[in-house]
Amino acid sequence: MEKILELKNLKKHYPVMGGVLRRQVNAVRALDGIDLDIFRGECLGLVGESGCGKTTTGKAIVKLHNATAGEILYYQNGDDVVDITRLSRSRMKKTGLRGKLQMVFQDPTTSMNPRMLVKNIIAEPIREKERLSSRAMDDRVRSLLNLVGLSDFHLLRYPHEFSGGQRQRIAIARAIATKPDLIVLDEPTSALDVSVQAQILGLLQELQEKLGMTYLFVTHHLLVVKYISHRLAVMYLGKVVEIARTGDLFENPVHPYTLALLSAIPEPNISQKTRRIVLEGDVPSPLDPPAGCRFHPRCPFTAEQCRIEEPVMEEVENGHLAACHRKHEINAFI
Amino acid sequence: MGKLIEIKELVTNFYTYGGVVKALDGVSLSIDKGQTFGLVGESGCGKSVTARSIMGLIQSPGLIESGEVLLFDDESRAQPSVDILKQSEAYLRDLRGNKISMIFQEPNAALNPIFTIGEQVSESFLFHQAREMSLKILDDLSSPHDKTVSFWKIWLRFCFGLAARDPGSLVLNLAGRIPILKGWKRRLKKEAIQRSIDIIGQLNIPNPEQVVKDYPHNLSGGMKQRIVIAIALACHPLLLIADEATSNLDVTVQAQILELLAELKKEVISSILLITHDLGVVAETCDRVGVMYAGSLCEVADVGEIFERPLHPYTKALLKSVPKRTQTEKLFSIEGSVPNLITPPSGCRFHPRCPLRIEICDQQAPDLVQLRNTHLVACHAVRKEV
Repeated sequence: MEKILELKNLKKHYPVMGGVLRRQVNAVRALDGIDLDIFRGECLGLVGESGCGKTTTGKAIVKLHNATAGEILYYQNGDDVVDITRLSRSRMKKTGLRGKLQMVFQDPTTSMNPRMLVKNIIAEPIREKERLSSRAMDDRVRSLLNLVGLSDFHLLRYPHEFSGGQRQRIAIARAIATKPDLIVLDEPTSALDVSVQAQILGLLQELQEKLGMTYLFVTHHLLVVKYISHRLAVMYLGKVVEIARTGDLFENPVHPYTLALLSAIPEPNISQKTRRIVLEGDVPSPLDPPAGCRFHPRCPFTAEQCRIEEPVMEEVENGHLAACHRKHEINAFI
Repeated sequence: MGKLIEIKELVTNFYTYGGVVKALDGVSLSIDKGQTFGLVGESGCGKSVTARSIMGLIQSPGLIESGEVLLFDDESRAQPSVDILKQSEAYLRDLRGNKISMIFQEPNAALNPIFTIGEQVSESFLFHQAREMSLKILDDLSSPHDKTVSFWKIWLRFCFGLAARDPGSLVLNLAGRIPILKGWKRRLKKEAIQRSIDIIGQLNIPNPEQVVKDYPHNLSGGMKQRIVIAIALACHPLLLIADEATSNLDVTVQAQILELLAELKKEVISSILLITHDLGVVAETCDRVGVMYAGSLCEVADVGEIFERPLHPYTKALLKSVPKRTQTEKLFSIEGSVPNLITPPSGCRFHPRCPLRIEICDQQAPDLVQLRNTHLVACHAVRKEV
């Protein structure tokens, strides 16, 4: 498989100022060294609890903020490689990378200008890229609207005239307007009702098949991400702890955090009840992450080594990576 | 098991500038003692309005047009039930937080940022249990070990003697305003804080003595929700209404809270009304489930029946549109969207999206009728088949 994006030791620290001179006294380690490969045409799910750095990763990829350290390598058409973290904002715009990497946000109500017509909302990214006559532009916007399942007469309306699901469709139309390679979907369905969520998930899958895009699907909802993604990466406190193909991850999770996360999903099914691992306590503060393995204070299988040494990502089996000292023993505990 | 609460044909409207929103259109349900009743549905279907109607919390422009909410709290009386909707505000104030209490969705919004946790939890005790606490303090004051006599002790004994009879009496009210004399209230507050520490400790919160001195921003989301639960449970309510209590929490924290509720239900609370849009949570915690759509109940049944043998087409569609662990085929999605409740569809409100639609559906709203032994459904087509 061909790589489209490669994150190498990506870090994002938010400085905490203090003292009389307002100097940096500490940092919130939102992302603390992430390695991740995204392959062309796949949907990679990024899951984890709130505050674990999922959204920060997504935003760093589309360069909504600058990473503190590390590289984001973007493979354009195979051999042409750019490091997104090194590009300036204007350079990013000039090379057309903004159009290639797009994002859909969680809340469609706040991600659109309430004073713009739907027509202009969708046309805006196209105008950045190319000059079209107004008729050609109208045709383009109309075809995009039809692609996401809306009709022509929606063109001249304002965002507030739509329901949540329809607004998310408009946001998706805006994201695909520039024919992107990669779309970062940041919790696109968590503000929607279940029946609408199913519609949007169906639409996203359909669009991926039609347009051959790559998705980075950021969410906290494991069953949604299981349905849509090919591979999953689980994050905990600014680190990726496990990466595997979706089926593998659900069938034999290796990292204890993944195990707890999976067992905590309430299943809409009464016949098969899974044994639940309820984690003690809360996620520690990213200001002062625990030494050694970051999960060790809450981990039910902590060993001496976990308190001292930070585990690295290692392959368990083909394409299944986990960062845990006891990854080979885990099966014995369950 | 006897009934605890029964809602009969509740109709609630909201008079907005855009028109009359018919939020509840004849909702009837009953909750037994010791039962966990789950109310599910999409946003805007009237779940929260139902809960607020029970508490008498519907505010202008909302208005409860008709219906009854019967609370069976004391069987020894000649008239076993009281209609909450017909009671005075004073009665409702005594009811809320005491017999029926509610946990709201957003713990950040439910807690006041400028008061400590202890102050907020103890408010419930000060309001509803002032008499019991006064009796206890009187008991402590007249303990035989302490034989010293002082003016202050006599004053305290006088105050709590009054408070034990009538916490709202005029003399106490005046005494609470005179600087030197109002110190007796401190003693009452101390007792309330002590009770708060006890109840917070019961909810598996580490170090409750410290937590009562903290402010809400010192705590994490899951902790805050536990504090909100502590406030709701302070007076051992008969019914606990959890309005999307776990929706904003992470799955692992949600698992903690659900486990806590299940544990507490065994010991403390008698019944829970769980309002949620997450069918997974319902499957795990509830005994009986009501499915709502656009302001009316379309199906009520035991949890096993709902998930294994649903009858109403909306319930079936809803269950099919949730991704499952074993999901392989394409997700089912219901065509169209939830109707606007200012101009709801005629007849059955689900008929424009219903696959089983027959002629009568757009003319007459179906009643909730019993089809299997405890399974109630409101659907013309299903009724015809069975």
